[in-house]
Amino acid sequence: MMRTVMENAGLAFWPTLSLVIFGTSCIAMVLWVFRSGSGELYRSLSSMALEEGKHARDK
Amino acid sequence: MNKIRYDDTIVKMFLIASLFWGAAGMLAGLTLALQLADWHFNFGLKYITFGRLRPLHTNAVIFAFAGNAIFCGVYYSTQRLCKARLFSDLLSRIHFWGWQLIIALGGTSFLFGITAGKEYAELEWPLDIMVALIWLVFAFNFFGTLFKRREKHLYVALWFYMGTIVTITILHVVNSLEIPVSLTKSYPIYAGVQDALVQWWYGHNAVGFFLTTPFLGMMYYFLPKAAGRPVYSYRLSIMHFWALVFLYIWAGPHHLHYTALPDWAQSLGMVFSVMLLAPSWGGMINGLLTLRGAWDKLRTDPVLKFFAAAVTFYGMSTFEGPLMAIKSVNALSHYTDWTVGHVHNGALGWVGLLIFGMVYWLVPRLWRTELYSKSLANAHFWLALIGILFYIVSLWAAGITQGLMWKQFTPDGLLAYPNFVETVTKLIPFYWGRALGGSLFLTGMILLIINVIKTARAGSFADEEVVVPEATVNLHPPTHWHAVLERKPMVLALLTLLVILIGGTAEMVPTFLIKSNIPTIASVKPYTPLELTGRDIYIREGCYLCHSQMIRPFRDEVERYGEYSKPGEFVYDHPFQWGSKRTGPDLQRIGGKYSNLWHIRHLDDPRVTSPGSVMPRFHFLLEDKLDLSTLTRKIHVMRTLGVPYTDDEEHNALGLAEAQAQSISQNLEQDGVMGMADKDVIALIAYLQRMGTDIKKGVSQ
Repeated sequence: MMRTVMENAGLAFWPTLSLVIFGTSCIAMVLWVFRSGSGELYRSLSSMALEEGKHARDK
Repeated sequence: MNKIRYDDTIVKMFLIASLFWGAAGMLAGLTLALQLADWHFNFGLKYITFGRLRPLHTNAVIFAFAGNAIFCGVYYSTQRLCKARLFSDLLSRIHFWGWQLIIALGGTSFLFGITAGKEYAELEWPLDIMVALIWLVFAFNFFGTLFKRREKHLYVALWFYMGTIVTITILHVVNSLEIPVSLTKSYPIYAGVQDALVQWWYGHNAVGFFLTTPFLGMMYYFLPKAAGRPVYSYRLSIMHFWALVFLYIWAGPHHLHYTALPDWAQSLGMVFSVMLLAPSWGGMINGLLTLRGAWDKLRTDPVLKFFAAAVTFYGMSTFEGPLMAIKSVNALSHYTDWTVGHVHNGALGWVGLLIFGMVYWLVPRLWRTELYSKSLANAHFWLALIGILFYIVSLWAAGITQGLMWKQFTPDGLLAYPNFVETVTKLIPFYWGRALGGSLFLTGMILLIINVIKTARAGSFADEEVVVPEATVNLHPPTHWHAVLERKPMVLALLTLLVILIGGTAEMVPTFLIKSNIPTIASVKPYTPLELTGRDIYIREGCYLCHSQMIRPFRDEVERYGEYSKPGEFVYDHPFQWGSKRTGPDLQRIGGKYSNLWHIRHLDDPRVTSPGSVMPRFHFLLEDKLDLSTLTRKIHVMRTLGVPYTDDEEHNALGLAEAQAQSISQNLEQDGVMGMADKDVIALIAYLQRMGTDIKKGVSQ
């Protein structure tokens, strides 16, 4: 039944939908990593692998 | 504050297992390289013919060498990044011993010809279930550790580990859906084009999420530690993660260019493969720039040498991959040794060197002493590097040479090299070059093992004890909105799942649900019971590892092999057997091309009919008795999967098979070959003579 539904649904929108999801995801990711205040946090996180034995930060 | 002890014993166990299986897997690889250079290295033993040994090699190096190294690196770094001991010692031990049991059983099963017949997914169904269960144990142990962590932030390495766990679970389960025939045999629920799409969605993403993401996580942890420098750009590492997991999952169809897969899926695979260059090189640049200010250490520190070279190989192989995914390049490279060279560029250069660097960094710390010999480690580095050079340059040359020879026409419009063997004998010097490269790489591995043993003997192993805060992070709910995303493991895991499902869904839904993507052909009928048995012998002997069953719509291929392959020809093929490498010619239209006598002579000793062939002897097929005990069940399972056998064909399968065997045997007896009616070879000949003939019947009708 699913096959029949899909065959008759007209999947012309499928590539457009895929493109929209793709574009939106990319833009969302860039906005996310450049959100305000992220720079300081990321600078601190970049040293995390080096901080063995230190206390957990409470940021 | 309180004291905890990290579980480094489990780290040590996985490290030793990785080195042990790695040496075994590489030895199998070297044997295979020698078998291609000279067929005598098959030693006339059916258990180690190329087709049976090759899955053992690939599975050993991927799931045993790299797999154990992943668990070693993940367990070491996760505990430290979470400031918590692993969630459960019991789960850790079940994980370790379960995984080693799977490796031992899997390796043995391949030597006995027990295989599902799909590249990198050859394990049969009981072992598939074991893999799923042990992987879940790993997942519980990992996520359990994240939940009891004392560090609020989830470092990006943990994201990559999470991406690995989530995606591999989906890939393994979806690609392993099969119906058992017996304890050692099953048929996948997918057939033909759909099976090919699922298999290469799995195959490509196994590279992406088993051989890339966990190692990137390890790079982001171990490289800063070895260099004593923070990650160059944490922001870039986050973009690297999301872009990689999102793009990787779409790229699988580039393994199926110009095949019977719908064209739109091929184009989609190509475009996403090319886009993958961006996050991959972003990650490589991030890794290399993390070494800024520490480049001087490369002169003296073997660990950094391995890491810097590994990251460079990551860059090179992620450039070569998208290049080969471009359809016009793929037209030349596909089915040749160039692909094998590319795989080893990533496997030896990226995965291998990163593991070696990690081991050299870990061993002195685990055993609390200095590394036994830096000189030995440096010697290992140069042996590995020169070995890779010999390996990939030989296979570049071999692949491009053979690809061009296949496509070369004379001025009269005839194939310049109509005899396939001509294009094989030309490659023998390159195959020796590859074997030399492999032996250098293996020698380096042996030096590493010696260095590890000597270091361990000089030091004393103990689990590390550290002082950590008392409260776990769960006692402090996140106060900032961004923390919900970057600190919550389940939210992150679910987001990753969503991201990887988008690509898979976009490609699979139309292929599975729109009938016009796979037009049926009325003359294509199910295999007879004897042909089906022969097909299973074809799978058992790993014929698909050297012979394709997919004629691409190129002039040279149609000229050499016959009519190009159509999607509708494979609708009853559970599993598909298109192959990915032509060490021998394509077999799609082999049916009716040669006599039964030719086939039996060829299988007994390929050099008799094809002088110069590198194919192993399959003389044992002329001696081993044909096993038809599960035939009725096989037909029943096929019917369950939708293959239109009749009631009579199911209940009388044995009689039909014996009658066809007698008929072929009588034909052979006329040529003086006696007593073959109940031998394995008779079923294989039945299958070979059927292959690709249905479409001709359609034309004649």
